[in-house]
Amino acid sequence: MSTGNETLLAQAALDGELDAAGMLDFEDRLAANTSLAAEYGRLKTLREVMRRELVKPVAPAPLRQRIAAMAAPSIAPGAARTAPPWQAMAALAILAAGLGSASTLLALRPAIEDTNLAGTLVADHKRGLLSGRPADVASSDRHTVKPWFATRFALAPKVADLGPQGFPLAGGRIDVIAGAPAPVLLYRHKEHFISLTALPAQGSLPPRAFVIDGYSVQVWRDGGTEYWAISDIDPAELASFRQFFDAANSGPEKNG
Amino acid sequence: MTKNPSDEQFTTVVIPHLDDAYALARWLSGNSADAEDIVQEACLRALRGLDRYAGGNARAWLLAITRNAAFTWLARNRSKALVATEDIETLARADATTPEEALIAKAGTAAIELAIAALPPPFKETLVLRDINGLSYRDIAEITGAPLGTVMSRLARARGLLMAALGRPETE
Repeated sequence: MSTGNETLLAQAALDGELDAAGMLDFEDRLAANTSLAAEYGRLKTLREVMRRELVKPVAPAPLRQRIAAMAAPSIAPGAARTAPPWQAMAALAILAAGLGSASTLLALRPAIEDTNLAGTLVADHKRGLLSGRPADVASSDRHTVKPWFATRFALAPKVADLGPQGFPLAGGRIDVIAGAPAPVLLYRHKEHFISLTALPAQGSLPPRAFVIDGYSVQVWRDGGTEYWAISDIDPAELASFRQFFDAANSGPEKNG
Repeated sequence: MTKNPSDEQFTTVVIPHLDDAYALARWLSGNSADAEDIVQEACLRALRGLDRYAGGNARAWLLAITRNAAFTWLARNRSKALVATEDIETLARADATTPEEALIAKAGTAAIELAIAALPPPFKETLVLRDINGLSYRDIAEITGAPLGTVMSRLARARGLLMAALGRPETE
């Protein structure tokens, strides 16, 4: 039977941790000590069996994606965009406002606020898609989505199903915008999603459309509600979405 | 909205060793769902601690974090699994009989996994780091914070227990 020290040496020899001189010495011991040789034989067998039978686990793809997203939460997988800095866009807006109207200061504030708000909404839209769970309530049935909102907001948003028009309802979620919870409706268009956020309207502003960070934005009002639609679809398609949504909600909302 | 330097570093330092981290977490926790939680927590810690990464062996660095995350996780969720085991420097050895070797050679995946899962934690982690992750003694000593001699004796003990479990006729 080998001593404890020789057992340790056997491990080191097996694991390739002995240098050439140590290995020579160990081989001498093996030749002289049959029980050490038997133990070494079993160790080698054990290692062969483990190599034969055990497969090293591989990190599952969803885990890999979640972790990759940790490092770059702002980059959508497979769709990296070069983001124009918002300051530059705001500067352009200032320039345009200055050229177009005398009331530069009045036009300036909404432009900057739009940019900031649009940035927040685009970020929320992207975060929803990246998390793989863009909707808190996932349903194409407005009779499911509307009551879900109704239990959470004093004034539930209007929910229209635009499936026949090519924009089926996908669900809803709640984002926190400027410190207050806001309902977000989620629509699908082909392979893309549209986040439609309903915010309380402040002041009076005309409908507007722009592109920020590669995302199309449409803003319009309906009574006391300001709607913000965000999507990576074509601006013209998002404009027709807006028209369908308006048309479906014009007049008294259908019951149910 | 642009990547900052630590994000770039995260991609080059952490991501390449994700499989190793997952393999270690998988063996220490015993199932894949818990392993995912552990790896995710470990990567969060790694991301926050990137400025403390001084270069060198990135794999050993991530595995050390994963190991700590696994033990925190196990302590919180399965405190029974963490019974302290004394390091026994004097090693109990199996008898040198040859039929045992034949039995070991015939062991199947399930029997080996069961035998590894039954190892006390310090022995299990040393064995996994060596035989699954393929790390050197020096790296294992660094990751576990144990002296080289302790790493060697734990490894010998782990393998001794495995050989005894797999070489026992009634285990099949």
